[in-house]
Parts: sequence; C-alpha cells; structure tokens
Amino acid sequence: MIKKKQKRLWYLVIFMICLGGATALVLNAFRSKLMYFYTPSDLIPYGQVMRMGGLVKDGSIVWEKGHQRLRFCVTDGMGEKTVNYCGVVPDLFREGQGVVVEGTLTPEGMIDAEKILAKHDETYMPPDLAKSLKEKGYWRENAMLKNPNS
Amino acid sequence: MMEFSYAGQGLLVFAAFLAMSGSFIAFRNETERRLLEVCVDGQAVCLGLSFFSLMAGFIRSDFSLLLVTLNSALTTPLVYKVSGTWSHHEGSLMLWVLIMALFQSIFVRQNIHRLVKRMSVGTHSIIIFLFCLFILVTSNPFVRLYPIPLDGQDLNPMLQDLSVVFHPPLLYLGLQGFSMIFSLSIGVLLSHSLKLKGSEWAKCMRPWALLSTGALTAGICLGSFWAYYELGWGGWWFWDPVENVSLIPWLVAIGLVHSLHVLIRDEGQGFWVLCQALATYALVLVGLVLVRSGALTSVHGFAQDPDRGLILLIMVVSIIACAFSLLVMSFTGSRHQVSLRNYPQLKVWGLTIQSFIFLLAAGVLLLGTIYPPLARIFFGLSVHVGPPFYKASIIPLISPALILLGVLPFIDTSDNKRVLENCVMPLTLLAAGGLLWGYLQVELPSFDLILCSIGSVLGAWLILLTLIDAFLKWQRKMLAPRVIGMLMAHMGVSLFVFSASVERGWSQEWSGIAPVGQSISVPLLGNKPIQLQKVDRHLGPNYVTERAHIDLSTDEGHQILRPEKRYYIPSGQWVGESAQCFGWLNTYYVTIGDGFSSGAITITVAKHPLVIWIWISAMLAALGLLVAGFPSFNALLRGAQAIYLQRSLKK
Repeated sequence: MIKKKQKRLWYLVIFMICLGGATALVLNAFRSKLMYFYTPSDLIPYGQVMRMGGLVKDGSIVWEKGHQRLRFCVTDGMGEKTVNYCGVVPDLFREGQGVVVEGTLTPEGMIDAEKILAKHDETYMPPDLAKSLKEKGYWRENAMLKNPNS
Repeated sequence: MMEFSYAGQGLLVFAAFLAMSGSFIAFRNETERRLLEVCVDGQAVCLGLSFFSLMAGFIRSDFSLLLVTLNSALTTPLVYKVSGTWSHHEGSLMLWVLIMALFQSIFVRQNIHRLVKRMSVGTHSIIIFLFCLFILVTSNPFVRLYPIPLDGQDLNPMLQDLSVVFHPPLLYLGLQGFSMIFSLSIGVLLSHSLKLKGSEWAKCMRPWALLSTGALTAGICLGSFWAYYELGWGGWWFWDPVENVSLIPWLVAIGLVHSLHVLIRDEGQGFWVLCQALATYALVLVGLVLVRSGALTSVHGFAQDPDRGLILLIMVVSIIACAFSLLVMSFTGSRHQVSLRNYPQLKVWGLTIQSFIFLLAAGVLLLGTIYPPLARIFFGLSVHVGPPFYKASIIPLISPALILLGVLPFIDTSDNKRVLENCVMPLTLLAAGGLLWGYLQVELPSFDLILCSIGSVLGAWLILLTLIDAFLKWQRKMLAPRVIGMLMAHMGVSLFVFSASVERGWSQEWSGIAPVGQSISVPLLGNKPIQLQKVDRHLGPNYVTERAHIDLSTDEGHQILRPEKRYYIPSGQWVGESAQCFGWLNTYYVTIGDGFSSGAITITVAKHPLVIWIWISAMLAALGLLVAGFPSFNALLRGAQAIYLQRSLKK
C-alpha cells in the first residue's frame, strides 16, 4: 500500500510540474505576445506589435521606389496615422476602404506595418473595426463601398 | 422539383422521431435487439435520404430552396454543386448528423457487452435527436424561396476547389468518430462497467479512436494544403481560430490513443481514459458552438447568427454538464490494478505524462482561441491572439511530449538497457551537441529562429530514432499491422517536426514589379532571372481570369508558372490564384498583385524549403493511424458476425 501511495504522490508531483510549466508559459505569452487592436485616434504604445484599423484616407496613398514601398494614412475620423509598408498589398486595398494593419509604432509616430489585412470581399468589415468606427460615430452602412468623405 | 425537398424535410422529422424512440428502446430493460437495430438503421437511412434530397436540389439547381440560391448557380461546375451541399452551416450540419447515424449503425453491430452497447446507443440516439431538432428549429436546410429566382449567387469562389470538396467530409468523419467514443464512455459509466474484465470496452474504443483521429488528421492536412495555395499568403498554418478549433480535439485524441494502449495492457487508468474520451467530444462540441455562433473572427465564413449560437450553447453545455457530472459521480477512488507482468511501468508513466501534456496543450490552445471573444465581452478589449502567442506557449509545451516520443518506444520488455545505452543516448548527446554548436554559430538569433533550429534538430533526432526502432522491431519479427501503423504515425510526426521547422525557419520571400518581356534577377533564386512573358485573359465556367505567364529558372530547372486573378461573375468576387512548382526540396510559390497601365504587374516569389513534406508527413501519420485501427475494427465486426452465426445455428 505504501508503494501505491508513493506512486500516486509521484504522479501528482509530475502533473503539478507539467501544469506549473504550462501556466508559466501561458502567462509569459499573455504578457508579451498579445496583439491589441487600436484605431488611429487611440494612444498606441511604442514598439509593441499591434493591430490598427481604420479607413484608408483619400488621396493619401504614395508609392515610392518603383511601386515597392508604400505610404498611406489611416483615419477614423478623429485622428490619423501614417503607415509605411513594403510589399504587395491585398486585392481590395483601395482609398476609402477599411483596412487593418499589423505592425509597430515608431518614435516618429508612424506605423511600420508588417502585414496589411483586407478580405477578398467588398462587403467585409473586420468586426473590431466596425465596432470602433461605430463607437466613434464614423460608421456608415456600406462604408467599404463608398467614399466616407464624399 | 419541389417534392424532393418536401420529402427531405419529412424524412428529417422522421429521423428525429426514430432517434427519440431509439433511445427509449435502448434504455428500457427488456429490449428486443432486432427492434433496436431497425431503429438505428432507420435513422441512418432517413438521414441519408434526406441529405441526398438536399444534394439533388443542388445538382438540379432547384432555386426554390433558399440554400441552393445562396450557395450555387447555374454555371457552377457539377463537382462544386455537389460539394455545395456541405459547404455552409445548414448542409454541413446535415452531413454531421448523417455521419453520426452511420457510425451508430456500425457500432450496433460490434461485439461488445450487451448492456454497454444498449446504454451507448441510447446516449447516441439522444444526441442525434438533439441535433435533428436543432437543425429543424434553427437551421432548416429546406427553407423555400418565393418567387423562385432565375439564378443563384454561386458558392463562395474560395471554396470552389477540389481539396475543399473532401475537407469537410473527412473532418466530420473524424469529429463524429469522437461522438461514438463519447457515447461509448457514457455507456460504460451508465452500466457501471468501468472495471469490466480485460477492459473490453477499451478494446472496442481503440479502433474508433485510431480511425477517427486518422480521418481528422487527413482532414486537417487537406485544409492546410488548401489554405497554402488558395489563400495566397504562402503559409500552411495560420493559428486561425477555426483552424485551432479542429486541432484542439485532435491533441486530446492523440493522448487518448496512447492512454488506451496503456489501459489495454495495464488496467488501472480507466477513469483517466474516460476523462480524455469525454473531453475529446466535449471539445468538438465547444468548437462547434464557437464556429457557428460567430464568436470568432476568422477567414472561415459561416452564416453567423447569435440566436442560433445561444440555442446551440445551451444544448452543448447541457450535454457536457450531464456527461461530466456522471463521470464525477462514478469516481470510486483507487482501484485494484491488474498489470500484465511484462509491461514496463516506466512506459506507463511516460505515456500517462505524455497524454497529460497533450491535454494541457489543448487547454492552452482553447484558452488562446476563446480569449478574444471573452475579452471583448467582459473587458471590452479588442485583442488578437496570433502566431507569436502560440509559438511561445504551445510549442515549448509540446516538445517534452516529442522527446518522450523518441525515447519511449525503446523502453520495452527485452534488453532495452542495451539499446538505450548504445543508440538513444549517443544520438541524444549528438543532438544536444548540434544545438550547442548551432547556437554558437548564430549571433543573437531571433526567438523564431531559435525555435526553428531546435525544432529541426529535434525532428532529425526523432527520424533517426524511429528508424532505429523500426529496424529493431523488424529484427525481432514484431511487425504486426498495429506496430507498422504505430511506426508510420511516429515517422509522420518526426518528419513533420523536421520539415515544419525547416520551412518556418528558412523560407524566403521577394516581391517586386515585373514589366512584360523583361528579365529581372531575384536574390532568393540565386540571382537567376525570372521573366514575365505575357498576361492574357481566359474565360472559365463561371469566371473570367487574368493569367500571367512567368518564366522561372531555379536550381531544379526551367518552369513556366501561371498565377491568376479571377473574377467570379455570379458572386462578383475577386480571387487570386497562386501558382507553385512543387519540388521534393524546394517549392517555389508565385502570386500576382496589382497591374499597371504599362502592363507591368507586381509579383511575389517565395521559396519554401521542404514544404511538401509537411503534408506528406501528415498524410503518413493519418495512414499510420488507419493501418493501426483497421485490424482491430475488423476483428470486432468479425466477432459480432460469429456471435450471430452461433445464434442462428442454435435456432
């Protein structure tokens, strides 16, 4: 019987070690690896990878270096941020359309984007973006299709 | 042809009725066996006919059905009309219950204790009944439309692809196999046969666990392959919430398969196995709620309806709550252990820890998946849990289980000490030394690169050990089908770890502008030129396409790749089609972006080393699980046949 109890104790110890390890990993990942969602008028922390959503401001898309580097403004009606991006943009990246960029804020107040997300669907609006645009009174039906400033 | 769809709806109602009466018959004491079988088969037949009447509606483009109008069009190719039957919420649920009923018909013929069988079938029928009711009340696929439109809106163009045709059925075969395991576990609990002699129920559960995990592996693999070439991002796993939802039960099921193996040889962990068995299907159901209620933001678009989600949530929570309270009530503390004398305790320990790690990993994955919706509801936070989170949590968590995978097969009955000393230890030291050397070579590598280097060394170590294991088992003439299946699955996992790490760590991408007819040199191709020859237009069955012809010279030779941008006419959507040249070593991947008035277009070229091995290894693992599962499955069915024969002879 003693042997059996000992065995169960060992199981318990090992399970606790596994559980503890998993908890430590998860807490660490939660601390540093989450991506929060902001809009351009929010206060965005420097240097952290995050997502920012808004509408691409009209007439703000500037291509540099033979159509490889790209600079544009994202706006939510209350504020705007300039985004730098290098690479191919999604099919539905247009002026006046909703966009979500993933990247970091540089000390100059610009966003270095690693990814630009836009769906292959003209009526799609990311839920986070729709929600924050509604909160800021910048929402209109079919904002994806029409120009918000006209 | 309206009568088809009316018949379909009627049959669905009848199937629900049969399921309800089936569970009554099963739970009653003095049961007529034949009657139960008729009832069970009746459910399968009714649901099958109902499903095929829906499919007939799709094939005949019967636009009086709302579902057909939304997901099909006259010009849709026939294959996609057929796959349109299950490519949306309502139809996929029909497939879901149909597979559930079919499995029940197989189960009722298996050779297992009568009481356990009756209780399991009763439970299963209740679940089928609940799902039929759910379909009828909230997502009836036979809703009619009037006036009847002239043409439909077409199936989502992204889903018009051959691998997505087979992806959902395979996935559901796997997920519903877990439903059978779930019902069997409930049956075991209800009939108080946790301690059944020789763990008979474990032997019955094992083929279900192996086969459904195999099917699920194949289903996930197909989905990943589809995502690779169709989404055009050049990745094969995005940690997208809906992808995770399919992986969560898979992780638990892998643990379950190994615990069952232990249980059959060393009875003592029946309770732990039941925990895992119930958790597997519970997680499938949780996943169903998450995906269908629209709580998750994902690339997988299912029709999203919060009300429907609420009903589903209540249903699923009550099923899970019943199951687990039953489990807790049946816990009777410590139990006498019967161990086969020669089964090493060290292995029991290792496999138990391994399955616990998998359960934890599933928990972490679930946490990451449900955190964004929960944070939105409770804290009003918009947060995205992406690949960095999972890379920092799941992968380090899983790696001890992978190390166990390398070592445990060698802990065996005979002279394992010698093998451990001669093969495993030196290889382990070599791997550790390799890692150290690699670490000293690279100055301050990024977290991802460290992870990938460790992964590739671990993968290579696993491949070698599995080969040695296979060789030793061959030498000792131990190669039964089940052992071969195990070796295949282990080899698949080892290869996967290796190729996935190499692909993630050493992929390269380049994008730029290509003018027509002009060669440009691309660094990642070793500065060999690529040339955009021309861009022309073609007409497909339901789309027009712009096709670029790109001449690519690689180390492996000359290739002309044709990426496209398609405009699907009925649905009005643009979809990019990537082009690849697959190679055993490197795969080159080309997509096109915007075009300019000069005729030039932006193109992206990527080199993915060993990427093809990711799917080959996953399929190898799936095949291994199937090979391991089929013999015992057959044995169970044959055993049942023998009993029938005996009975009829007596008569």
